Amino acid sequence: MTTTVPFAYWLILSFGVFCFGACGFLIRKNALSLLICLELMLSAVNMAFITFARMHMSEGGNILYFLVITVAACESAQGLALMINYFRLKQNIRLDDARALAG
Amino acid sequence: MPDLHHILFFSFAAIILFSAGMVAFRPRPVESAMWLILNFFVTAGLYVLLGSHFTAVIQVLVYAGAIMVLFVFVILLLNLDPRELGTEGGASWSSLVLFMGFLSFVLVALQLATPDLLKAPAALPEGSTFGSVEAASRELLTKYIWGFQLSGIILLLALIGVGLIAYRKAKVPQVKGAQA
Amino acid sequence: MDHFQALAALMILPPLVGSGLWFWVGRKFGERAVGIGASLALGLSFLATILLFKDVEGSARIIFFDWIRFSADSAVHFGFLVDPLSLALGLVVTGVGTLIHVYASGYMHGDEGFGRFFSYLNLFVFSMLMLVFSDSLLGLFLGWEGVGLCSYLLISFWFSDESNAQAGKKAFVVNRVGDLGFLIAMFALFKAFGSLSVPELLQAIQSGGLDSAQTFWSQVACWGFVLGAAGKSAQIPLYVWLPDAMAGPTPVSALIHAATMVTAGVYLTCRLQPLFLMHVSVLEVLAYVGALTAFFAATIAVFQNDIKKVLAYSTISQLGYMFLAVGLQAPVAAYFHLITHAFFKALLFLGAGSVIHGMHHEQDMRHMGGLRKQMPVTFWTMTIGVLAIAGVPPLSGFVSKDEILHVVSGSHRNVLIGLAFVTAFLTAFYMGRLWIMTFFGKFRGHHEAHESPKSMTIVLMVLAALSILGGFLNWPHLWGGHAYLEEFLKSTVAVLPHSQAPDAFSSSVKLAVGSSLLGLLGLALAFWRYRNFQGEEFQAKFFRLFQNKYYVDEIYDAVVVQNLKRLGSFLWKWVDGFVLDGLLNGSAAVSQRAGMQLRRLQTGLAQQYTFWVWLGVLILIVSVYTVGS
Repeated sequence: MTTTVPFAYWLILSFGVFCFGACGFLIRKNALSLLICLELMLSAVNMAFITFARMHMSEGGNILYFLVITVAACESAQGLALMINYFRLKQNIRLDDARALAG
Repeated sequence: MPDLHHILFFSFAAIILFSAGMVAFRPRPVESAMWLILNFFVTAGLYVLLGSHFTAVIQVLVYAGAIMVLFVFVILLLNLDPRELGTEGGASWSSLVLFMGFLSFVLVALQLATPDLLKAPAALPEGSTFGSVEAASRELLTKYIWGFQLSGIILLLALIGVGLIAYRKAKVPQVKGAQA
Repeated sequence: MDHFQALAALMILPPLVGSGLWFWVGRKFGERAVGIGASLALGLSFLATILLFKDVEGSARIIFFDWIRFSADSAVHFGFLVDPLSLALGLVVTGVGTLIHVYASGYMHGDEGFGRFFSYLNLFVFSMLMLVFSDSLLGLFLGWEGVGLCSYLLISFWFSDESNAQAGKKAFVVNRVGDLGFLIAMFALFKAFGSLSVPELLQAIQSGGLDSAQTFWSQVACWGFVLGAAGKSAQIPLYVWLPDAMAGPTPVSALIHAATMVTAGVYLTCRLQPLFLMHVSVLEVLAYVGALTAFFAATIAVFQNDIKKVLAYSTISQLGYMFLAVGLQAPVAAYFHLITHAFFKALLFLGAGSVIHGMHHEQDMRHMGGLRKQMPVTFWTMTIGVLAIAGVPPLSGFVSKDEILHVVSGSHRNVLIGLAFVTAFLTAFYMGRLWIMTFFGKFRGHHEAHESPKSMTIVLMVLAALSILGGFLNWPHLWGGHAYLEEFLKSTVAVLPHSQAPDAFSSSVKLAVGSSLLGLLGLALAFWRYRNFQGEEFQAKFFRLFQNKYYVDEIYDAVVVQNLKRLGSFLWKWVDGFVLDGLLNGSAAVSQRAGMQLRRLQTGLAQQYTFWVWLGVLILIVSVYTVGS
């Protein structure tokens, strides 16, 4: 099975999903939604990798996909664990209150 | 005349973009998570269209299966009410961010629309094994063996890290007369 | 290590080792051990110098190691140049040094800083030997600075008194001016000849054939050395530090500020005689500077009441004589006077020290008088010293001074002749005044005086003997003597041929009789004027000029010191306080303000940080459009 859709469409679709994820990351105010948007962005990037792999007929893109989801799994596990801890500490996950880094 | 590939691609793309918007902007996290699962499933379909069967399977098993289950599980565990989630940002901030997102999308899309990328891709050569489980696994376990091993170590470390972060000491009950 | 190296090491090391030893463990060892040990170190050094004198024929260059290597074929060695010139002064330094060490162990009895004193004194002798024997200008400079340092340390030895500390500071600062000249001279010589080794330099100069650049730079070097010598040897215009240097203990005044260190300038000009002979105009200036210094210092000495100040100005005056001789191309005469002066001036200073010791640290001659009965040994030895410096035959001072006067009268420069003879008369007068005010008349003091201990009086007697006999070192041929010193030095310094005129003998006798009469006249006048001294002084306004030392200190203060202070104050308050601090504080304030504004960006909200990142990426994307095509 082999596609006839131009690669530009795939890449534009991938970047569109990425932009949704990024906008969501900036607009949402709770940490859980942020993590979900991160997953969305990683998935978009993965789509670009697979497209590149098909473009160049190389397995490298597929392998990179594999590594990215490994990192994504670790990242979400860590992020969720941190969030649980944060929730225990503050009884909320509101990001507007989390500004200990303020200069 | 639209061929099957185009029809499938555009319908998948529409679903993906719609669900991505839902993921980004639905107010409750649990809704976002549900839409994201849909997004991942359809993305797996796209990978099949591209001929990358191995990744399509992984996408469903790991992403839509394992990771998203973890999310939903945590969401249920915390069972947050709206007060704990916090109020959403103001209209001006949201519109600024959306404008930037749209601008970036348009600029990058225009950049991507080159004649080279717009022509129909060449068919896979006869007997090509691209994207098959066997081909991908062979590469993974030979050429990229170090990356593979390192990803295993990263997973292990993440496991230990999560354990350390989320572990909570059991409260020791006060023994009577301990002060004396 | 060969024989000479061993001897040279034996000469230079004991004072150095001793210096460190007395400094760190002087207190633990106790006075007796330190005094004997320090004197023994010097004695060893003296013995080694004598052995070198005996064994070295002509001159020898003893190289220990490469000190600084400039390139494959040029280096500064750490080495000694043992030749008659350095040996003669080396013998005086170690010999007189040993005597003064012995004397000082009696004089400094009971002093808080006994060990420290002998540490500095030993270090001084080490530095002086470096200065005298080094075969490179750099080593000479090391010694030059070393003696300057020791001089500073010893002048302000009793530093708890503010004025002593000030005197040390003055000596140090004025000497720096001279050292600047020395440094410039070294730079100039290195530029001209590419070497700092004394034998190589002298060879290059004597072989002739210098191009114009070399001539120019060597002349610069000459002026630099003259400035350096004027600083170290207290000549006009840098003599002002020496009278104040009398704030130090008297043995220091005797050793450093009369017998050895201050003669370093004379040694330097003799050592580099070929260089100076190339530029006779410099020597001419040197002669006039010397004669003027001799005269001015003598006139000031007449009006001083502090016994050590009189001797200090007398030293400046005698050093002027030496430079006069050097300037008239008679280095042997200068050297001869240097040696005899070391004997009788050391004797006079130590005698004065004995008087001060006996008078319980009273230095004002108006409070002395009639001491000849209480202090007979001091009196008789001082008498010999006074007669020697006044030029009474046949004592050493007469012979050496007569030789200089002989050279001067042969030069046919009337100004110099006049100054030299007037100074000879003044010398006799002020020394007679010192002698009579101290030892004759009624006792005007407050405390009963007593004779000094044996360790001091024996040294006085030895020095008195040397002052009597020193003249025979270079007794003129014309008078049936043998000029040993001249024979000895002939190989290293150029000596003017002796006058072969038929009336040489009679003219020299006339000169000798004339100068001795001048000396006796001065003594007699002093006796007549001061035999019944009751404390009155010259009242005429004219003499105020001399009493106030020509107001030189005041003029220097107004012209140099105050202006430097003003400059310093300007630099401090305006340049440092306003400009530099303003720049620093200004930049600090600017960055602080900027920081206060910029910290608003640091909201602590991770999403806003992400926003900035994204904005940056967007700018990159836009720039791809504008630049990429």
